[in-house]
Amino acid sequence: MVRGVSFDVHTGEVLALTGESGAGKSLTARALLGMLPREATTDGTVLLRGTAVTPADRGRRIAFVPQDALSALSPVHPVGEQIALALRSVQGLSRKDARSRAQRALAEVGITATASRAHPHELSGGMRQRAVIALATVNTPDLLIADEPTTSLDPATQDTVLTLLRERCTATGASLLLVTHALDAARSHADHIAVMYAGTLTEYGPTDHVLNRPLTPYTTALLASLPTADTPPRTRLATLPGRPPTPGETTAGCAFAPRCPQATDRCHTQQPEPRSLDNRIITCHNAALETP
Amino acid sequence: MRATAARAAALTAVLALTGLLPWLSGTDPALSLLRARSAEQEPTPEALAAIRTDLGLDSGPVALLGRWAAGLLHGDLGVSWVSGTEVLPAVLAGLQVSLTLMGAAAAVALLTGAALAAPAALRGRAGTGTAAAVLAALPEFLLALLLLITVGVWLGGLPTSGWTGPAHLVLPALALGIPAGALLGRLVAEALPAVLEERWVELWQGAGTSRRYVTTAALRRALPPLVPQFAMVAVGLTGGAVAVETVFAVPGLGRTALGAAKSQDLPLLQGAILALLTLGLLAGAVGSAVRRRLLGPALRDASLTLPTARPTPVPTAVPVALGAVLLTTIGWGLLREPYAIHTTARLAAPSAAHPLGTDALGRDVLARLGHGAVPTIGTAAAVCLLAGLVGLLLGFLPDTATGFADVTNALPPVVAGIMVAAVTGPGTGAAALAVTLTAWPPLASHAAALTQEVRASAFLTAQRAMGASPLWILSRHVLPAVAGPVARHAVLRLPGTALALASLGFLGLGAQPPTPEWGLLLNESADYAERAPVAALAPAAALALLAALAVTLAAMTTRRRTTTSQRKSLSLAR
Amino acid sequence: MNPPVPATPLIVADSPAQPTPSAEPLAPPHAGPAGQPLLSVRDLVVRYGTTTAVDGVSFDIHAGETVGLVGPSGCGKSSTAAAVLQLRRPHSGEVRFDDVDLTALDERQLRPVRQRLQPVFQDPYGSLSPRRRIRDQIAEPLRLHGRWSHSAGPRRVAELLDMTGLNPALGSRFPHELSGGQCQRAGIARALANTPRLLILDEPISALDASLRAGILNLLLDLQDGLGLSYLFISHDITAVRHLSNRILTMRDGRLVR
Repeated sequence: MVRGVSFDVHTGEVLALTGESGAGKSLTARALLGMLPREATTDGTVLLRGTAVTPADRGRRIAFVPQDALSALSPVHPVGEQIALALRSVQGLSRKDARSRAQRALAEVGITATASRAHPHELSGGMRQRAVIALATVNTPDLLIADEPTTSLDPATQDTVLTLLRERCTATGASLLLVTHALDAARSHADHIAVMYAGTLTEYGPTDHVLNRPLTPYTTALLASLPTADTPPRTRLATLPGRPPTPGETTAGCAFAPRCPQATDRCHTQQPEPRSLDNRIITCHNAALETP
Repeated sequence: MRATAARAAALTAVLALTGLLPWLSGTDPALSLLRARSAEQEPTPEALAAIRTDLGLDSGPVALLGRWAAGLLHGDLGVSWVSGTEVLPAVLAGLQVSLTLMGAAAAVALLTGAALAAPAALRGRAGTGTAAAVLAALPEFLLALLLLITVGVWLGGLPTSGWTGPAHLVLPALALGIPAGALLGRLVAEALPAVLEERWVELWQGAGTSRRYVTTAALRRALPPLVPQFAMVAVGLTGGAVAVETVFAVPGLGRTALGAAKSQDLPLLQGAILALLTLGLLAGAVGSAVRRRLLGPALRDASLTLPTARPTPVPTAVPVALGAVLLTTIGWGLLREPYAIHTTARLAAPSAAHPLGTDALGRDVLARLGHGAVPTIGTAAAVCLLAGLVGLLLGFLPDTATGFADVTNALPPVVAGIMVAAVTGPGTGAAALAVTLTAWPPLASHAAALTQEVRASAFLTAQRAMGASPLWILSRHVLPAVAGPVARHAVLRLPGTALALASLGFLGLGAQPPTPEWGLLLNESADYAERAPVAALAPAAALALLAALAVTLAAMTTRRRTTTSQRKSLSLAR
Repeated sequence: MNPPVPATPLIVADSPAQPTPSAEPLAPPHAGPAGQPLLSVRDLVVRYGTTTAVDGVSFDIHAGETVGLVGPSGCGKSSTAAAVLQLRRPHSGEVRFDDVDLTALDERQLRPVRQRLQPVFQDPYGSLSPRRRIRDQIAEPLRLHGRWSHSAGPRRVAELLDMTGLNPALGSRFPHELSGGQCQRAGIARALANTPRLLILDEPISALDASLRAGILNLLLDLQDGLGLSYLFISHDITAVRHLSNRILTMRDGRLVR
């Protein structure tokens, strides 16, 4: 389902992992956390500050915000208690200490002590998101993985939530791996971007480089199909022919070859391997730096 | 509001029906009373008229109901027609025994349930295995009889009859508690894996919250929506008590009711049924109170419903194999003669001439089993069809349906069977009517859930925008979407319905001798279990196969969970 | 190591022929007779219980014009759409379509009008019945309004499939056998069956993958060119709205804002 994916997240930075549905973004994120479904198997290594990540590191060194954070809190526990339980589990605090630390963590995202005793359904959507962010960062992880934290929100609210998430990461010294299908969000919040297609990492590099000067045909075509402020209104857009492969569908060659305008015979028969080019990692036979 | 009104109406109807029993009763109570009082007296018209006047049967139904209701308000339940003693003390005595038994059974149920739910809580795995599921589907009378035969008769050591000491409590409590516990355990074990897949679990785990806290929290999350179903299990205990008390000769409320129904002692029957119904409604009310307590004031408005559970896959081969064994046995038996009496070969062991042996009259057991499938399974098919139609119809009126469902939910099939039998006399038709009365609510809530789902879908909005009339939408889109799954659901409930009919047959409320109905068959054979074990256990095995079939078929349908979750939200609406 | 990144603009579409757009306001490409709008909404108010979702909205859509409607979630965009379509009867105000006030018509009188005023919804799978073949669903509006005949009916369905860029073979499939983009096209084909004049597009591309969105936007442009349709295009994707629309309305808290 996901194959040959390699990338680095640097200390204190934001890396966006993007791609269309079924590209393997969430699966990759879960693999890092060791939170894959039972039937999945993995191969490869995940190193955090040089040492391998184990499930025991969850919450200590590596933390997770699941999809659609609005519904991500337990409906039957007060928000403060949910954070206190995470503190007691990881840091072994007493009930009393955990409660006051939880209240402090919530205060840092602007939630009052009264609200910390409320159940999620009594809080506004915005407060719930802030509580989720407080819970994810309360044990000061080195890396925070957020899987589509803002999908169901409108763009303005998305931006607010992502800004707060970034702020909390900066405050606790965590790096952020942001899984998102929204290129706009990646553009405004990520230092590096990794674009996935059909389970492979197509292109990885600094966000402005990849989004302004894509090297692989997939990224190029995807960006070209999206209207921007510069696109002449009411003109036909460039389209990608065909449809993305369904997860698990395999091809002999490059997964994008059937839709790729630049595909050669080699693309149809041989799977490309990831390679470094300039300051990026790309998985494509044809991509090359244009000679200036 | 409409649901409350419907609930009140349905409850009044049941109470009125109970009050009118003497008048509704088809057989002449005066005649049976005359027999009961003095066997010598000739049933002259004068004597009968005197008794009618004495009972107040001649003053018409309204006066009868009025008198009964007035007495009820003063705590006067009347006088037994048979013994001539006050009904209230007899009912209270029975209630005391039954409550003790149900209390012990509830303890057994909790232990069984906890044992079955533990693997799901500890490992997050779905399901509890087919064995537990069959245990849950096993009717109490069957388990009671199996316990009676194996522990009581073969192993010895425990008393199997009467009510004189704590030892007498063991077997009845096990028979009543184990199926209920298996059901409880399964409810929790099925709900937990789905809860553990909710997003908050990932968030908690992602933040490092320990397994112990997550498991406790998942239980805390899963229990409140399940409590109404626990209450239903408690209601089921009142029905189960009738069968279990009969098998073990425990002088409880259930046995009192059954005895009263059979001897046409209508005042006593009224009192006993009133007590049983009150117990059932009380269980429902306690369930609501417990749910409120569990939720606390903060969560009362949080519409907590359980996530849809993923059905545990059952290989199609299992129900197919079970069905094949059953059908072969039935088919073989149908070719043989069920009523021929061989006085020379009574209680014969299995042989080439009688593959499953013979019964106490020397009749071929295999033949009786085969021919018994017709009254048992054939009637069940008719009941399923009827219940499916009623369910489909009421599914379109969910508010009305909820009120009636709440009352019928407090009425186990056995109690309904006693009431119907008291009116029409025992028989196949009476049993079928009683089971139909209690079988439609799950089908109606399934239909209601599907209707709601279809009505809320965007494609129905598109239909309206297209200019489709309500009739067009109903006939071309809503009905096809609802009828198919509800019909399938009704078919899948066939084995369970057959078991309910068999329990009525076993108690003598259904088909009458010499019909080889399976429940009746088991009742007759129980007496000679020691001397001809194969012949005695053959109907039990057939019924157990039916239970296994019911469970595996139910697991095969993916739609099943929609039903239970809807049922939950229907009962949460109060 | 890193060569300086030239400030190249994004690689853009395959139609450089289009002249650079003129500054605001854009003239509608098929501007009807000036003055008489196709749809005229006046002081529209929609309430759910005590909350007011749409609070006095007024706008016009002329023939051949695309009007974009943007705003944050919960601002009343979709309630406006439902009220224009008369799927949710407005509390007060006027919805004048083809010079008829729809709010004054009862459900029966609305039915013929509905042929000319059709919605396209967000969820491509949800807006089709899961139990019926694509071609039957596209044919349903024809049958409903008595336009189905054994000879002309299938021809019209084939035409609609072709018009929306669907392979005719897909007609015999069920929705779950199609991709999201294909389902959305089928939904558009169904909306076009009775030759409507105005499509209410309620977030038509939000549920689609990025690489499929451009195809739907192109299709909408082509259909407008070919059929002279008008659109009310509702989306929170401001760039897509900007791309498709002649005019853009912004909603906030149930009201139109500047």
